[in-house]
Amino acid sequence: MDDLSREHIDIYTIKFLYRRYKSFVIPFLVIIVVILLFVRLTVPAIQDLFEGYEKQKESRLVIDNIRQNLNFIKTIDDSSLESQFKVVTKALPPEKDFDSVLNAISDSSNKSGVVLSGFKFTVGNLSKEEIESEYPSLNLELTLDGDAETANIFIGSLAKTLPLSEIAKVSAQKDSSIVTIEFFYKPVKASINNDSLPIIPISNKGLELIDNMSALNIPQASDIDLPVSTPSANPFF
Amino acid sequence: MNENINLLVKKDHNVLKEQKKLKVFRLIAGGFLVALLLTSLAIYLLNLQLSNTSLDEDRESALSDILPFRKKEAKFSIVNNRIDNISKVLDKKLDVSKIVDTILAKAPDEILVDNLEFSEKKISIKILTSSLKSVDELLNNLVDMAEKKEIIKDLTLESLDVSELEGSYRATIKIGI
Repeated sequence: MDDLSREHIDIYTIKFLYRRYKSFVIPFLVIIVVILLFVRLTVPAIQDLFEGYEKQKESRLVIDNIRQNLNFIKTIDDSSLESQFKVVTKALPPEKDFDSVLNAISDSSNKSGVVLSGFKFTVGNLSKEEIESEYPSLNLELTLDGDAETANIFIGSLAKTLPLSEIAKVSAQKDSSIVTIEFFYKPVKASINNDSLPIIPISNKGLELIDNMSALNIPQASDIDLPVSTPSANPFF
Repeated sequence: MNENINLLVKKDHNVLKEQKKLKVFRLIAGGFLVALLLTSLAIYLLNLQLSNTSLDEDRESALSDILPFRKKEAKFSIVNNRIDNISKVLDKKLDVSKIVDTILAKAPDEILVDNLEFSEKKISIKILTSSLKSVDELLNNLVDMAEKKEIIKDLTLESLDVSELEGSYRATIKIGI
């Protein structure tokens, strides 16, 4: 059988099949078209619908949170919040607060009666890495007139004074001691109001902490009056 | 007449069967079409309902209500944030004054603290005394503290020198806290 006759047979077969199943063609095409429309149009439309519902749900949640936050904020006493804000930012300033550090040193020196004979600030580098470290600090090296016990009296007094500090190093001799102090600060991260989260009230532990901080010495700017060993050694003027 | 050899009857039967198949096929196609139309209509109506809600207006209204309180909200958020950070600082902070006081209080009166160094949770004390007994007493007191896990984690007597001329003892004690 040559190719031509085979082709004729195929055409005849197709024609025969078409005539035989002609009435099935239209329903078959309808089914195919419906399936295609369902897959290409209906399924994405259903997905969009679900996404729309999710977005609506989120929007409702945000609106509810905004209303709740608003009600909560209205209940906060302005003066109480202001004093809490002052205490916590004095305890942990948002930046290197030289004034507060000098006030704290001066106040502790006055209260402990320890005479300072010199001091040295280590400002450190102002790089982003340092500021982003968990607890950046302003370091200060103080030279005190006195032995270990005298230095310890000063350290004890400083521990009861804001801003928060930590003793990094002590080197006490018979007549003179060197104390290295780290004054902590923590930058406030710029944040966009997240209305999808409710405002969390200050916990009892937090309130207790604020009370404890308030009980510590918070020296004011006018307190700067360091008892230094000689007038010429006054490090501030 | 046997029906098995009647070709005409057989043919009619096949045609009927085929017509039945065609009917089912047409029903399925019609069902598909109707289902598609109904689904599309339902989606359209649900979308219409979804877009009809006044959520945007509600949101705008809530935001404008809270706007005058944003500063207060920010202040409150800073207070909360500071409290967290202050707690963390206090947790890691050592009360050096109390530690040094406690350790120095363990030294008998005859002992003179010649030098005290504190750095990175280590204290080094150089003492001077005329009596070896007082050195022993100080060491025993510090060992007691270490055993009770009170401040001291490890204790080393680094050196003990005798000065025959001065009649004194010099000792260096290293304390890990």
